[in-house]
Amino acid sequence: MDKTEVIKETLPLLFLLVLGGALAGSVLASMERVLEMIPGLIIIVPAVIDMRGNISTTLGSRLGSAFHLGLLHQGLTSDVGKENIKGSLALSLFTSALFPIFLWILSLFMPFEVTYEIVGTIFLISIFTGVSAALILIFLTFSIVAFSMKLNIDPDNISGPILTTAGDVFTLLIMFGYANFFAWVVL
Amino acid sequence: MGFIGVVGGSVLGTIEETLLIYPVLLFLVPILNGVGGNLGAVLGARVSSAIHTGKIEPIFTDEELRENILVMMGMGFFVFFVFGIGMAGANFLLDFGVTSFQIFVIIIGAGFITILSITLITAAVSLWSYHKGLDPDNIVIPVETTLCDFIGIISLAFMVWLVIM
Repeated sequence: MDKTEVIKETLPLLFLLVLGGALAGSVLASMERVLEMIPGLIIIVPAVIDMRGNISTTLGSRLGSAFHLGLLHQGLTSDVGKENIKGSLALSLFTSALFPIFLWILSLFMPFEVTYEIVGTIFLISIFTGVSAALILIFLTFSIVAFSMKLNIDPDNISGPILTTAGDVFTLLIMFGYANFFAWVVL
Repeated sequence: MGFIGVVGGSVLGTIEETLLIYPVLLFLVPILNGVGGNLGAVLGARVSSAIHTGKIEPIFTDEELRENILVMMGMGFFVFFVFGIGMAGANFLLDFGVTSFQIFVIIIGAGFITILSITLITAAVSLWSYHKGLDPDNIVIPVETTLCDFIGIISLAFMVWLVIM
């Protein structure tokens, strides 16, 4: 194994990820007030950003393969593009609706309590965040593929880390916005 | 996997009080998950490809496999070491409400636990999926990133409990 090559290609990426994580972390740290107002919201945060990462990296990987197969020349409007957009949105909507339900089920076994009002608020926050973040990340994924086509880079090498890092930042920012809004409207 | 994510979050919920007193700890969550998850993803992708091309024998004692694991561990430890020193320094200037030593120990501890377990788990899942007749390319990365978020949060909770509570 060529150690220097792995280290040269991976180590700078890891430091960039620390920076990206720091950005996402600052958003999360500045959410402390609304996290306090909606107890239970912090419990779905890892699940939401994790699912966002899973959905967008698989989209990135599929678009990367489609790109290599030459199926993506018309960009967003190609059949492959449309199918992938629909699929990603449906997955986002479905998983976002599941998290508050998991939360409620868990609250029956774990040492914390949530009221129906809180679960309802978290349901709204989760769904709106999921769909909005999905739209932004779908657009970002297509941009990354288009950008790599222009610059002759293999999208497979860059889409994963960019999407997970940008996904965390956007998702948390969007969640922060909706959480403040729904906390103000409902509670 | 969504369920594991919510379970991970409920661990975060149990230290919520402390996290809200020291927001700098919330700040660490995405970094632990991001670095650990991506390090595991690189290792997972490399090991899966190497198993397919026959460079790595699908057994735990394989020399090449061990080298891959050690290099990834080394890089992960190095990144968290540098980051720990950086945050301890930043603490002098910004004062996060904890001592620089506490933040350094929390980062090093949580980072090392996360990296150590995620590299071993990634390797184990790659070998396991290969032996089950599944393609590791389809399995390793989603399993590894979800577990990493879980482990990252638990190790952070553990270090916070150890150092601050």
